[in-house]
Amino acid sequence: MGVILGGYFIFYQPDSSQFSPIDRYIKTAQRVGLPLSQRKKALSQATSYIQGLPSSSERQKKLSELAYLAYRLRDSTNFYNNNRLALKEAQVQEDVFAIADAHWNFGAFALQKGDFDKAYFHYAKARQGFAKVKHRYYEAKMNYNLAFIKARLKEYEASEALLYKALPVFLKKKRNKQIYLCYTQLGLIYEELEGFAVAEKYHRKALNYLPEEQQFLQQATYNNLGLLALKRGGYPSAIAYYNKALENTAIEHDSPALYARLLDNRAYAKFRCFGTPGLQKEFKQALSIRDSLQNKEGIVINRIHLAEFYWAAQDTLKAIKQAQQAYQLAHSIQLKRDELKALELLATIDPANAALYINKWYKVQHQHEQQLREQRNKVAKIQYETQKFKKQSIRLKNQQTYLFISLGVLLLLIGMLFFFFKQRTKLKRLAIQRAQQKQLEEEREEERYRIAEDLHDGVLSKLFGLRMNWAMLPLKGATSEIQQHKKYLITLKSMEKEIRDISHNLKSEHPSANFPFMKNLNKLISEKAELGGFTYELQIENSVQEKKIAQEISTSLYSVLEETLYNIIKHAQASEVRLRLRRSSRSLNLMIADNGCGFRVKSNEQGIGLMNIKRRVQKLEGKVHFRSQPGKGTCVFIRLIMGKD
Amino acid sequence: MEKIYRVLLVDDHPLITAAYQKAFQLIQEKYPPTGFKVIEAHTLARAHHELAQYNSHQPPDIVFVDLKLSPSPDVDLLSGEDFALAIKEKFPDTKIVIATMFNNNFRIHSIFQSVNPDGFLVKNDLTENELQFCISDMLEGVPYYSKTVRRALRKYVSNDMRLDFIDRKILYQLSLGSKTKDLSSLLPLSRNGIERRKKQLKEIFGVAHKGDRALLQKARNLGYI
Repeated sequence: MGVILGGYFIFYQPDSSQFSPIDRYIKTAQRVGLPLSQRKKALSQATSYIQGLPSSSERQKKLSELAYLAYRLRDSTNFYNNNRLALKEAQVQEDVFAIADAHWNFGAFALQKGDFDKAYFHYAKARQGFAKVKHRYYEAKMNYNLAFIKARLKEYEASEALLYKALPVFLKKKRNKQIYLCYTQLGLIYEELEGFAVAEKYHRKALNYLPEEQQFLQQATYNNLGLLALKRGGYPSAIAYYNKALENTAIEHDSPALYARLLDNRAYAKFRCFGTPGLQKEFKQALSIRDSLQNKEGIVINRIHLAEFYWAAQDTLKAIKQAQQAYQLAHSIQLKRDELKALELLATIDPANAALYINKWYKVQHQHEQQLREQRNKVAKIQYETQKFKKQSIRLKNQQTYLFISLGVLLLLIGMLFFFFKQRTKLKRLAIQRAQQKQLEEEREEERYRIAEDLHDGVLSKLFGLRMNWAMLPLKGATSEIQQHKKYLITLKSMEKEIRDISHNLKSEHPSANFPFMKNLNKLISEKAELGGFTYELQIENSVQEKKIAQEISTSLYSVLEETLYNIIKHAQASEVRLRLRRSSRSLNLMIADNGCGFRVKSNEQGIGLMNIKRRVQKLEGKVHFRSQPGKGTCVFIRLIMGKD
Repeated sequence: MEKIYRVLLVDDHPLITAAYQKAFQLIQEKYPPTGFKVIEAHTLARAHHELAQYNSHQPPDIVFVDLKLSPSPDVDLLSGEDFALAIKEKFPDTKIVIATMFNNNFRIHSIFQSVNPDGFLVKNDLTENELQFCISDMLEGVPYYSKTVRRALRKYVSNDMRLDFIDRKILYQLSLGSKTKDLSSLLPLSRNGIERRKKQLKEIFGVAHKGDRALLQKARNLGYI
């Protein structure tokens, strides 16, 4: 047994050693200290190795891991190869979760590349998969991602709706980071919609859900709040927020990009509040950090700020130069919003070329809008198709449900029909039996009547005629012999009376009177048991002696028993019936118990059967008692008072 | 002066008519001037035929009729009772003697109500002497009833309960073992009507709320059946 079991394990458990080289490559690729090229090389090696392995769920997991790693290292080739294989593998394994996971990777990668419609498509797919396997948390995460995309496409209402789908799940699961992200996103949406008070509320709410491990999210939110204050013209409060954020000195080293942003923004706020003096240094410091980080988006904003600063300091040449540099950089990285801002600025500070800039501004604006519209359309199309698919699947599912329900109903109906017919056959047989019995009784009665008539009209008349003739014979003999002769005649006469009485009794007797009660009792029960399909136990105690039971009582008892057994067959569905006949000093007791479905004794609707039993017993001045409950069988007690033996 | 009485004996058993005839012979021997011209009939058809031979100048003087005779529908006679009624109609002065095996009170009462015979014999009561008494009473124009009949009459007369024909018929049918539900086909009453009458009967007999059996017992004791 042990050997077989061992073999079984060896056969089915994929050799984990197959994957050990991959684990090694993954470790190398994950090492942060190593140069990027070396990490990417390890990733490529793992990718080419795993492609040679046979399909298994373990392989699927590794592929997914590699894809994620490639995504982190921004290695598109390896990402696509691995993730495509992971998806394929998941589809082969019919692993809905893994399929959703692969789509998630695709979505994240597409989003990283700013490919919104593709990202939207994959996130939607992922969401569908997670919903199917009821993974609420991941489903909510996908909703957040979709909301993020919608916000980027300036579809703020749709974005907000999605966020409100995701938020309750995160709140329930107490996922602080996700909650923080949701509130922050909501804040940004309201900022765009110029609902500044609401936006501020959301940003403040976000502050309540700061995750422990990411220290600088607080500073990022202060930055957001600062920007909000700037937009509302609340420069001192903006400066206060930035100062608060910059209190954490670790930023300068650990998150220089954020540090530079905060510096730049604070300088800008100060500049708007107090004017130009002494701020050039702060702007420049931020710019130099951003330059070293190659943070192009940051550089663009920084240069726009500087341009505004120089313009205010009335150094138009420098201002134009900064603005032009900002414009060119924004243009090269397709940062339309800042490109427009830079052009707007240039149009004001360089009035000589204002017409040119405005012209460009319109062009960019138009392009921007068109691009946005196209992306929106694509997303809408994806959304529509997903919904259509969803509806169809719901419809299919409904159809399936209806099918199951109707099948169930049909089965039930068939069952009921079967039961009904079975019951009907049973009742029919019962009726036939009754009719047969009745006919038999009638025939018996007829026969008895015939015998009575024969006795009366034939035998009796002849006997009478004979006697009369005999009496009138002129007999001669001794007196004693004549006396004897007369005596015989008298005997003959009394015989006539006897015959007549017999004949009369035969005619007037109750049909079922004078029949052996006990014997028939046994026969009756065994017949009914066979018909009703129940087993029975008949117990007649020795104290019961048939001869001592009055004819009237035994016939009534027989009828009552017949009625009761009829009820058991017709209504009770019992499998066992127990009968006991017992004689006490003053009474005769009959108990009939079954294990059938029972009935409500107190119910007002009592059938004719029960009434008949009661009536018969009451006629004999006896008592009948029913004990029953639905589902708990029925017990009938009959007690007939009898005279002393 | 010799008087010849015309006698008709109707009974389906020749033995019985022979016995009757013997009794008439004995009377003739005892009272010499009396003579009998006796005719026997063993079926209703035959009796009908014999009856037709008589006329108002020569009517039958005494007729013995058994109640239980096989019916003869072609002459519209179903029983001895019918025949007795036919004689009564045709020859009102004829002495009719009913001789029957029946001894139940109900039948006796109903015969009195329909035929009102001059003689009524329950065969079981009869001995040769009784028969001769009966015949001589008939000759003298005195009614003669055998002891069962006399007893029934006494019970009936002494009892002040007045039951009508239908009441008695119900009792009679019940005593035969008929079921209540079958009675409505025998009587001009609905089933409910019969039940009502039965209830009344039980009250009259003082056996209210008891079964039919008690009722019949009581009715039998009181001579109604």
